Amino acid sequence: MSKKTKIIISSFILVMIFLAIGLFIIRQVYNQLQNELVNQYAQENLTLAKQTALTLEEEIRSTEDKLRLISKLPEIRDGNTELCNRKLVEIAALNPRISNIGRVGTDKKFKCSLNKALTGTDAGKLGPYISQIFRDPIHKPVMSRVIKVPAGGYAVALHVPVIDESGEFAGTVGGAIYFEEFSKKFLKDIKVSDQGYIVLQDDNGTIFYHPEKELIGQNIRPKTQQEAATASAITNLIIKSSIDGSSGTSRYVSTLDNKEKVGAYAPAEVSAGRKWIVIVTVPIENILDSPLILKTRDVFGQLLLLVVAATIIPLMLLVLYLILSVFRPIENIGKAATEIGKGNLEVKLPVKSYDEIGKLAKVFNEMAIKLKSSYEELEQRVIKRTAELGTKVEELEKTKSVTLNILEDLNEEKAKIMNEKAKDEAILTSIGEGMIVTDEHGEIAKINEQALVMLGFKEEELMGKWITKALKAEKEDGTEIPIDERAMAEALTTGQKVTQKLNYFRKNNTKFPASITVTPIVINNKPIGAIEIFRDITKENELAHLKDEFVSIASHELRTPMTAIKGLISMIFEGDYGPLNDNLKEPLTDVAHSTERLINLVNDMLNVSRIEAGRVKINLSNFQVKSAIDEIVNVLQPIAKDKNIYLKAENIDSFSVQSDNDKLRQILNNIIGNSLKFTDKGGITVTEKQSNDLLNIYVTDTGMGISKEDQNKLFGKFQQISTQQAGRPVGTGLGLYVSRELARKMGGDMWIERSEMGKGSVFAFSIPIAGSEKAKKSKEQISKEAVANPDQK
Amino acid sequence: MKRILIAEDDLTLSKMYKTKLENYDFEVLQAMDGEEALKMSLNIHPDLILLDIDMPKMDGLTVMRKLREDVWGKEVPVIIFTNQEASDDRLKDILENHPAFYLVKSNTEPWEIVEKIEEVLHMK
Repeated sequence: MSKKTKIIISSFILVMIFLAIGLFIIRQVYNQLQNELVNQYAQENLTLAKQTALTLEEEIRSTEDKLRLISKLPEIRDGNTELCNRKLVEIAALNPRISNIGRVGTDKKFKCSLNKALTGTDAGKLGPYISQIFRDPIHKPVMSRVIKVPAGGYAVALHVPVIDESGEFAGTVGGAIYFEEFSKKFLKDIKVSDQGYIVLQDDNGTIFYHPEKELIGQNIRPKTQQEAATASAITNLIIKSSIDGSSGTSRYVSTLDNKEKVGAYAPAEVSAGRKWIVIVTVPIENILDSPLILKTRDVFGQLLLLVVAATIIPLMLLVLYLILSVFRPIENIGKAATEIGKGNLEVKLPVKSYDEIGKLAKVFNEMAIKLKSSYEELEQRVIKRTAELGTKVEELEKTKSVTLNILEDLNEEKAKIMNEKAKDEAILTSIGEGMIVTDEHGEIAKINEQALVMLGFKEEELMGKWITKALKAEKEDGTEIPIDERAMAEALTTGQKVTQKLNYFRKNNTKFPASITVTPIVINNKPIGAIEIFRDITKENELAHLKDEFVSIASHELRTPMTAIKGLISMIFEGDYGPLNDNLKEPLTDVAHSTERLINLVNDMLNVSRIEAGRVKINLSNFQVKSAIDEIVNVLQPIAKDKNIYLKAENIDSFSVQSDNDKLRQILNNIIGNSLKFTDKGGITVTEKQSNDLLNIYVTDTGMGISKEDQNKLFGKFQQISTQQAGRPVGTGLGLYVSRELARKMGGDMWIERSEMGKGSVFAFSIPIAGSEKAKKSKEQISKEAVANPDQK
Repeated sequence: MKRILIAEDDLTLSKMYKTKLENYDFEVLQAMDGEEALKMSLNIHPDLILLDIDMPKMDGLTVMRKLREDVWGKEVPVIIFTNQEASDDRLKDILENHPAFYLVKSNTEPWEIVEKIEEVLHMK
């Protein structure tokens, strides 16, 4: 809310408050004035009431005094009826206000009376009050209540004692005071202002003077508790006054005419303890209708008008101001906004003030200006752009034809690529092997149909999953594969191609043996993904097993006849069957050689099948390698001698190695034997060298050497050197394979250290040194495999 | 003359070894299966038994075990003559518990057998 608005509102509120306060004060003053006036009247009336009471008392007392004087007259005192009656007429003429004067004797009987009819009658009949004066020891004067006179009007009777010459009480003399006469005499002169009036009540409450004649003679005092409760305020005060003689004023509502009145009351102790009450009453409305009040009211009315005018004029001005300074400008802004909405951007608002409204108008103008300028700018831009577009369209039209030509070419290319892709897809789907492509984290990015069929998964179940988690696997022997030993993990960390055999689990938790090859996709020495190719090798394993069985059985079955042939031939040569015909010697020698080859072949095949079936039993022990080398060298020495070449072991220290004694000899026998076969001059030297945990044994020959091509194939099954020479002893092609497998099984390896055609070769193999870490590992591995393959034969 | 029992189910081999041994003045008895071999051994009490392993009715290892339970059989020299390798668990078990000699058939020439027999008997 702005400061201005605040000021406006607070001034408005202030004005209203002033107005309210002004009106309140005026009312208060007016009321007070009224009250003041009423009180003034009341006091005036009270004074009047008191004066009236005094006058009444004076009148009654003067009457009483006259009666006392009369009682002292001898004619009256003596009570001679005749004399007395005469005298009474005389007295009555002198005292017109006292009527019916009479002389009562001590017997309470009228001795004489102005009303002759009363003479001789009992005065007691007039009222019980007469008796008081007779009973009273000091004989005070007595007065009757106000009584209705049968002839009309009201009157009281007053009697004073008569004292005889001897000072004795001799009866009374009294008369009646007629009120009509009485009031005429003195009440008529009393003027009560503003139509007020005087009411007289006797001590009994009976009204004996009232301007309204019907009320005279009525007694308005409450007769029951109920009436007392509803009686007007002044009634109770009057009762009180008649008891204790108090006087006062009261503002009350009359029970007679329901008018609000202000009254004053005062007792008049008229005679003999009787109290009359003088009441002076003025209706309030009469007071308020008085010219003073009317004039006051006029003044107050003007005052009120002044106050209201003083309040309303600023208010009007305020409203006018608001209309001019706030509503009009806002309306103008509204109109202007509508104009702008219609598109008329030329609108400008007059800025008349610097208040909020003024600011608003100013901002509005700025906005309108900006709107206009940006609209114009926009229009110009549109024109410019349209022009530009025109040229562009032309250009586009030109390029369109060119593009269309390119598109045609592209479509052809696309078709070609699609064809290629379809071919690739077809290859991927049709290859019998499962294929999974992963990203650099091993998350599956592509998987072919075959893989899904083999694994029993749906494509969406594997896409984006981590291959080593999504595909459960175990080693061939059923043991767990740590995740980092999985082919995929190895390939991605090393960047090398990894081949592994394992059992894959299908989705339904059945498993199948698989041979997998993971080839990492390496770009800039960083693997960006890998391709895993795998196949179910259940059938292969079965076949391998069958083959193994076959080889094993065949070998055993072959061996017996071989042994027989071999034995028989040797026995023939030895003459066990008599002298040998020379003609038969050559063919029998050939039979012997062939048999030897056959036996070697069978033995090697048996070894291979055992190795591949994992059934080679390795009996590890620690022994001196020197003794094994010496023994083999000694055994083969004759062959070297026959060929006229040397065979020696050099610098062999007494290393203790961990190996299978028999297998070590078999390996030595194999590689030294090979060297012997292919060396015609020079000779063979066996050396050794420690390399960390391993002892390397080298067999160096000066033989024909092996070509690079053959070196790669040499350790394969049934591999023979291509340059077989006629007459060269023929091997089975399994020896090196078996030897290397055995070396590996025992924790070592076998390799060609170097070889040069025509100069010779160096074959090497390694065995763990006893007690080394490598030896321990190798031992653990072998015992684990022994547990996994308990059915070794 | 020393008496040799050849326990061998292959008749050709059996005949061959018999010829060789007889040429070296041994008396040769032939058993064609395991049961026969055990029976003949316990009845005839040969000086040495050449025992094949894979035989019908009763294999050589059982024959060996039963022999060793006999008072005489406990002492008789036995050459296990087989194509089974010494590393074979069954063979190993027998050789460890019941001392005997061992030759691999396919690697052994007939004369080598004679040599071995003479060696064993001489030692005795």
